[in-house]
Amino acid sequence: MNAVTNVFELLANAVDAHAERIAIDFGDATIRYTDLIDRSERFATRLREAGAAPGARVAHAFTKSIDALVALFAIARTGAAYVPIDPAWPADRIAKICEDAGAVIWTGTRSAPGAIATRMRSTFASQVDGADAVAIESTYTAPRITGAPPTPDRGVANLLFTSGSTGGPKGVEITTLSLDHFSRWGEVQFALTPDDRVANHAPFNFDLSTFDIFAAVRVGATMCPVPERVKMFPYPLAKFIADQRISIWYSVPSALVMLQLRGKLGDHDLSALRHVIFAGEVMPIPALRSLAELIPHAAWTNLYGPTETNVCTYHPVNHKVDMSAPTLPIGLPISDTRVWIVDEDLQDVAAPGAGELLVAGPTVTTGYANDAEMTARRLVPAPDGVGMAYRTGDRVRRRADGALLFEGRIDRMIKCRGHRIEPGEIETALLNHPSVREAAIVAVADPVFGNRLRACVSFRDALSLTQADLIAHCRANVPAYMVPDEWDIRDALPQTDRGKVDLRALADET
Amino acid sequence: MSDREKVRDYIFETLLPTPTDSRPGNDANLFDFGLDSLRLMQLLVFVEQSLGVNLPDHEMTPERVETIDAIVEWIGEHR
Repeated sequence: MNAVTNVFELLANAVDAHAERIAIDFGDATIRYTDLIDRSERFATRLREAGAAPGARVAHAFTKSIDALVALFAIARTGAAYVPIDPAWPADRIAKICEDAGAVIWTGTRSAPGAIATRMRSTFASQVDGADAVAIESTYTAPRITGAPPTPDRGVANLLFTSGSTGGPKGVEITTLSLDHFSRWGEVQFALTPDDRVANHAPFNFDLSTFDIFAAVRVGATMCPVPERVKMFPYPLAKFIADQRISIWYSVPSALVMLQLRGKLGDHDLSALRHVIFAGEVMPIPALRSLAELIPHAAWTNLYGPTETNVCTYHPVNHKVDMSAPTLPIGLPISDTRVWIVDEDLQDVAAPGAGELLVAGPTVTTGYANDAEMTARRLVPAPDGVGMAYRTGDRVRRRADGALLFEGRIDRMIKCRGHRIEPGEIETALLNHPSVREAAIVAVADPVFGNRLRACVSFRDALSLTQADLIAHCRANVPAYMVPDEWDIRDALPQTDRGKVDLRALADET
Repeated sequence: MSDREKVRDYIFETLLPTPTDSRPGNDANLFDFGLDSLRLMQLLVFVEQSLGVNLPDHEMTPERVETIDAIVEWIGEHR
């Protein structure tokens, strides 16, 4: 199949072949492919009138819903890039992201919070709560947009904002090429068919969601978004998988571990579930072993890739070999993807040595929004001279059979429930508090969630803040998953002989 | 201390530390105060270990944990 130049074409192709099939099953509401494209193209008309076009970025701030997917395809249809925003993020962070992305059109379950609403030129919301917002439903009577779907500016289909080490979130450019290539690879690797029912568990700002959406749509399968409130509850989540007859599941390992621990998987009929895919953090082998016993008919695949590479390697679980190994490999490169293990000077490390993983191929990002310096630091000419390669910051080693093994980070990034967290971003938020003198974030290993966050803090004066004040401050400045779980308030933090906070000493204490 | 007081103290002192003067009532929605999957699991462990009450996994629904009143009612069903 030919490559597409706009991800909307994947939907158009699905409509050609599967118009009457159900595109989205969201509990009580379903929508056929023919209606999904109809609504998207009507909404797109209004978006284009508002200025959505190649080069524009449109905020996409939805909880799971049919409107969320209509909006996503409507934005794509105009040639603009969508910028997923979690509506639960603090307003300041949302404002920063919109500013960084240059987004002046807002689509969402609700209007933009507070002051951000006033800088939006247009607002489209499912639930209209302000005089200036247009109800998304009302756009469904607009005429359908005409002309071919334009190619997005520099091929960028969306911007995914992740935690940034220098204090603020940074926007990773995800290209049409990346989404098309990854979803085509997934279609083949998991033998997807129109009969598949693909769960959408990850939030839209996670790259995992691009598989759920674009791999499902490209084959005419049914997307089944997991309602927000069900996600947190292991038993209702297991029931959802059973009731919705989910055949393809893709999530972070912690969601699966939660299901294994408290979902009572044995109570549910999971016979439809044929492939379980996970990515985003390390899957603990004991949890995988008991999951595989509870769902014996399913196949299991570990995917790997920082947001900047979407997915770049994969490892189908081999029960005989992997279940008794110390760690699960991240595996081999996906199609048309090349990887290298290099040292600090980007020179090859001889096997079986460990080094930083470099990745080149169609799924690799073109860079960070408005951050040429960071782009230049992380994207380097590929060692084979073909295009650019991304420096993952992940330390890996190659096993004798070629499979890659993940050994940790070369920097301080922490993974928690699949979220990637730059300690520097939380530390910056803490240090911005006038009473905080020193702040350091360290990871504490957690059997279910990979890591928990511990904040070590000292104050400028003795009679200062309480832990509750600090938490309130963090909640106002960083997303909930970045608010530290444990607090360690001291008179002073240990220092290195260079006068910096001694992170190693703090980590050793945990 | 009653279960209600113990649960309330645990939630606002440890799980979702909140300054005394801004703590909401027992009917406030805890999801609005930062309750998430990790903290929910910690809450269950607290109930099991500190109150000695086993809450069946299959009964855990959003409605049963969204307020302190609801949690205490759920605990009461298994006392």
